[in-house]
Amino acid sequence: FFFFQAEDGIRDFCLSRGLGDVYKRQVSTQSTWGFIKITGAFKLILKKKKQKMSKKPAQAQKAQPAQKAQPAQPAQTVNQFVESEGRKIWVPENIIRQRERNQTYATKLQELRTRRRQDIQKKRQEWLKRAEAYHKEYQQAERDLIDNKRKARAEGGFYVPAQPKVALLIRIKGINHVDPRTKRILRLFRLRQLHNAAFVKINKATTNMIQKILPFVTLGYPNRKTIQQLIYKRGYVKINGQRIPLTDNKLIEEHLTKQNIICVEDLVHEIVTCGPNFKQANNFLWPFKLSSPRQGWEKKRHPYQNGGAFGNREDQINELVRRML
Amino acid sequence: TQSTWEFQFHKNITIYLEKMLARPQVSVFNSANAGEIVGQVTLPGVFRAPIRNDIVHFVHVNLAKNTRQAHGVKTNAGMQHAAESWGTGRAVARIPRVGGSGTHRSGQAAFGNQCRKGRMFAPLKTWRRWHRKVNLTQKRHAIASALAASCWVPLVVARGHRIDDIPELPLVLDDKIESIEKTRDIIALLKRFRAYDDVEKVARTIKIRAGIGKLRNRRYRQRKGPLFIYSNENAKLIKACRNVTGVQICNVNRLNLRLLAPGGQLGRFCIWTQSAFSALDRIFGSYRKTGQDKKNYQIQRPSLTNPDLSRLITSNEIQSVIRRAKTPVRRHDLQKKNPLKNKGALQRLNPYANVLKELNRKQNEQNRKKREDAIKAGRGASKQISADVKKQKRSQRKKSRDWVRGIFNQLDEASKRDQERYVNLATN
Repeated sequence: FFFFQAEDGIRDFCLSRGLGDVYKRQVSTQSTWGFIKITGAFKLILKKKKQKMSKKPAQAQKAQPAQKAQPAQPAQTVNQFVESEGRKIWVPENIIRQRERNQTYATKLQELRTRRRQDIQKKRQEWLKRAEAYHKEYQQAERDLIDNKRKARAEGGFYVPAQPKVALLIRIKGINHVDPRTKRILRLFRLRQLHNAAFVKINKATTNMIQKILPFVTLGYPNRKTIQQLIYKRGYVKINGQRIPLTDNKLIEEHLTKQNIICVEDLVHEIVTCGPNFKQANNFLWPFKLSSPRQGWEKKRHPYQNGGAFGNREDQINELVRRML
Repeated sequence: TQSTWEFQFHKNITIYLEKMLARPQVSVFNSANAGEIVGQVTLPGVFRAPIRNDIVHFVHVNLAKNTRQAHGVKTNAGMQHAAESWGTGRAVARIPRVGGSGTHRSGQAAFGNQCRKGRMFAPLKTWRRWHRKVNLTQKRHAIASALAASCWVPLVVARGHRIDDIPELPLVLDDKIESIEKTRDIIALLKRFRAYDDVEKVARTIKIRAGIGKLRNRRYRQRKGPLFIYSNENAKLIKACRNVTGVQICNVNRLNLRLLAPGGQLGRFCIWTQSAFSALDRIFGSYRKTGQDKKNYQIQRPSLTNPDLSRLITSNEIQSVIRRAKTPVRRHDLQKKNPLKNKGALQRLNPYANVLKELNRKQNEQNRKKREDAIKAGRGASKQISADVKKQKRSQRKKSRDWVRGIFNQLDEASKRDQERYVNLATN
């Protein structure tokens, strides 16, 4: 039957089976003849245009042949006969080109991967270094405390360590029947839910705020282990307003490089020592969602001092957090 | 500049020209001898019109409405009563009821579409808009599409025609067939060109229609066979073809969409006479010029010059410049692993943790060892102490114990005395 043979490229108009350059294989007299026709007609147009315009035929003529070469297939010939098992197999041109493209992509991917691996290794070295430095710092701080105490005792005096700079606030009461001021303050501390916990820098401002919400929270001064455990186990971070689990240091680095915090240990250190970037570090952490404490609360309606639960329980917060973690 | 515009114009024209000039020659067959080609005709431009089945469907659907005959329900059907509602308070529904007495009908509900013997909802009216006007250009585009489709074997075969053995598509025969008078000659011709299979198909499939239509003068249904298209008004072909089941005839000047795309389905098997085939250029024109008989009609330009999307996408031109498909990036693991328990998670976050653990372990080892050594060193220490020293120590301990006991005894006695005094006070 009659079937219009297609040339490859964008110019053909027939309904083909979409097998790429299958049709290139099929040499047809029709299409080549049609091809001749095209160029013939083209010359006809040019001739006609030449007759019409007297001034700029040269430019048009120059432009057209140059442009005509472009849509034609690339000049380099692709050897489409591939040796395989002693025979020459004809492979469609676009398959050959596809293989080349895939090859270049594969090598690029390989390079990218090795580069990535090297980057990560470098980063891990840095994290190791920092963690080590912090460990030494913590140990030093402990030793200093002991030494100072001993020295003071030896002189017959007392050593008063610095007041704690960071507190952990845990919301004790639920969201019902809360007066507006308390509600507001709790919201400012990011304690919008029962058993939410958040670190808070201790200064005059926050102390006064805490005073106003005391019956609704319990607070204390977390030690390093508490802070670490909270961040490792219940650590979620705020990225783009979303609560993302802290599974990779990459999350921290992407966010807090400016504050020179690039790994979890940096974050922990910043909170523990209440460093200069405490605000950023703390705000980066989403408020911790703790469980209700195992072995339960003492009367939540009474202050801790009276055998209850709310209010400042200073170091005893650590024991509580162990039970809530 | 004018030159670039002209160049652009040329470039666009070139594409269309290539298509137009890419019209091949169609063989004209000798109607007496199927093997003999007596001439060549260039494929008319209309056969390269874009195949717009959406336009064809729209036009067909609307033109099909034009042969409808008005019908309606009797205007007063179901309303020929003086029925009135009884109102409330009679323990019956408020529907109008037939008045009077002496018959079952009295008191029965009337008028409503829900009532027995009532009028239907929205009684059908004859002034329903039965006919549809379709734009002339749309109709012309539809015909052009149908013609274009009729030269593609896949479409014609998909429509159901049996054309496996015909010599060429489009099938163009010389003008001698216009003067064929006899039905048997037409049948012989169809057999000669292997088109009789299509006719046989029609005869085979004549069935009684399902449904009420069979009682309404539409008793039989059958498939469509070949369509003869002629151009001479006085062609005897018409009478010859009339009685052959399935075969239809059409004048090229009055091409009918219902013949070219029956049921709105493109791809009718058409058999052309040479003059009819050649006339198409005059009637429809081509991409280069408008039609003469259809005045100012320009064949539609297709929106895609190459509609073969799969071929386009797999072509080198496109594949070499498109980027890689993006893999969906997951921000974080779907399940958070607890680093305090999961060693891998901890290692990922804090590579120092393992180091520290190792350090602590070593430290613990050392401490334990030191303690053990100290204990070992202290063992048997009591053996070193002399018996006198032990005795002395023992007696010292006894002394201090006795002293403490003595104090407790004193306290007990004192409390006893106090109790007695209190009791005495109470009784007295």
